[in-house]
Formats: sequence, structure tokens, C-alpha cells
Amino acid sequence: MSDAGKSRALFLALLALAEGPKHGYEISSWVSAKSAGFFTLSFGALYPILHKLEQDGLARGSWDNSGGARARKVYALTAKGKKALADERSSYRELALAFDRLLGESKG
Amino acid sequence: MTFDDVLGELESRVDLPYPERALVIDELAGELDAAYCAARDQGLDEPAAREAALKALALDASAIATLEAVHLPAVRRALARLPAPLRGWVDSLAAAAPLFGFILYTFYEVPLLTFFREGGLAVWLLLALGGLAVLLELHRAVVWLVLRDHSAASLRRDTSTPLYLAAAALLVGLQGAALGYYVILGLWAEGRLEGVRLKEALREPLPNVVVATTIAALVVLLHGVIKAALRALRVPQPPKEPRT
Repeated sequence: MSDAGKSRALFLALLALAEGPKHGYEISSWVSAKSAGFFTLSFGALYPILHKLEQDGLARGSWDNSGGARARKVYALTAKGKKALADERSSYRELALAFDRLLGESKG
Repeated sequence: MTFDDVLGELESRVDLPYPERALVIDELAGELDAAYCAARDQGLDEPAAREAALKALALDASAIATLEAVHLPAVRRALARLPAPLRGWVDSLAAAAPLFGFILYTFYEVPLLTFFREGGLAVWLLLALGGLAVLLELHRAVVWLVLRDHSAASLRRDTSTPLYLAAAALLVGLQGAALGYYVILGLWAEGRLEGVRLKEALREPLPNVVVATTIAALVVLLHGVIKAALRALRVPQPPKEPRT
């Protein structure tokens, strides 16, 4: 995955976790459902990101034994993670605005 | 192929230190279960749901490499900055340093040389065998517990060789002492050893027993502690071999 792809996958994972604690499969399903299938996060892309988030203190993992045959690792955003998400969100908003201006100009 | 087969294959393929490797496999097992349940909820039959879950889980080489990089222990990360030829020697030097430190300390602080000399040639032979056994155990401790290299190649060194060396050292020590007493008792029977000289002579073979039992016990203890540490880290015993 390219650096831009990794950065986008990280943002998508942070966004998913902003709505509440989730395990990997839930994060992947949430991204796909919310973007109407435009973005997909494969497990292969997602796991290294979740582990990096945990290592950097942006997310905290805990084991949930309540559902299913096996325990699932659930991730939740930490205060540091929420701050990182706010920064990422504003930078993506600026990017979207810039693209919007560019696309608007090219239309005319 | 069952989920356990797939996870077992993945566990042997991923070069992560334990317990992180075991925890990643536990996590993936939970995700497989979640993906399978979701596929069943969507109306897929059991084989189709299993296939869908396995397809979702697929970790390609790049994902595995990223996971390995994320979990690379700090010590190995620091070592990676060293020049390659030096890197290969670090674990051996780190293992040998405490042993040489101990040897130097005892030679300077304790009159050990005299003690060893009294035991005769057997002491030097058992010291060589026992020293090699201790060195092997220290090397394993450095590689598995400090550098946390739990690759298949590294775990393949998990043999009983140090225990055999310790047993050989013990045998040499006991035989050396027994032969020493055989000679002394022979001299005594011939009337060539008496009084103070006899008492001194009876003491001479003892270093063989003392050194041999100490080294053998030390090796067995080190071996046991390292094995217990590996079990605590969830390293499979015997280690999983990568499947081809």
C-alpha cells in the first residue's frame, strides 16, 4: 500500500472508532457501509494500522468475551487518538475544499 | 481447511516475537469467527460462510511485513542500525560477556586456581564441557529473551545439547574424583600415605565433585528457567515449523 493509501486507511480506522469501540471486522464493515462501498479496508491493510494505533497510544485494545465462540479484540480511541482524529479531519476537510475549488474551476 | 489449520499456518509464517504472535493469532481467530457469523447472518451456508471468512482474512506478504515491522522489539530495532558484520556477533558477545566477567571476578577475588589445580586434569576438562553448556544457555537467553528472536531458525536451536554437556561434565567430575580416591587409597594401602599427608590427599579429588555438581546444577537451572520463560511467552513447544 502507498503512503497516501496508508494515511487514508488510518484516517478511516480513526473515523470508525470515533463512533465507539469496535473490533477489526466491525471497523471494516462500518467503513464499507458508511462509504456505500466506495472505501474498503481489507484485514491485511487494517491489522497493521490497528496495531500501530495501539502502539502509538492512539487506540486501546481490550478483549471482549461476550459474543461468538472466540474472544475478540476491541479497539477504542484514547484522548490522544481523538486529538489525532481532529487534526486528520481538519486536514482532510481542507483537502476536500481544495479539490472542490479545483473541480469547480475546471467545470467552468 | 479448518480455521485452526489456517491460523496455524499463519503462526508459522509470521516472524513476530512471542507473546505478540500468539495474541495476533488470537485476534485473527476472533475476527474469523466474526466474519463467519456475519456471512451466516447474510444467509450463506456453512461452507460458503467459511470460505467468505477465510477470503476476508487473507493477509498478503506486504501486510505481514508491516505487522512484523510494527512489532519489531526495540533492541532489534537498535541492532538494525549496526553494520551487518558486527550485528552477527552481538548476541554471541552478549552471551559470553557475563560468563567471562564471572570467570575474571572469581579468578581475581577467590583463590580458585589453587582449588582447580588440586582436582587435576579432570577439572579442566569438566570446566570446558560445563563452560560450553553455560555459554549455550546464555546465548539462548540473549537471543530468545533479550533480542526476542522467535523465528523458526532461532527456535530450532531449542535442543537438549547443554543438558548432555552438563551430564558429560558431571560424569567427568565424578569419575575424576573416583579415580583420585582409587589412587589415594592404593597409596594408603601400600603405607605410602600417612598422617597429615593422607588428610591432604583425601581433600584433593573433592574439587572435581564440587565443580561438576555446581556446573551441572547451574545448567539444569538455566535450562529450566529459559523453558519456563518461553512457556510464559506462549512460544509453542516444540516450535512450529514453517510449512512449504
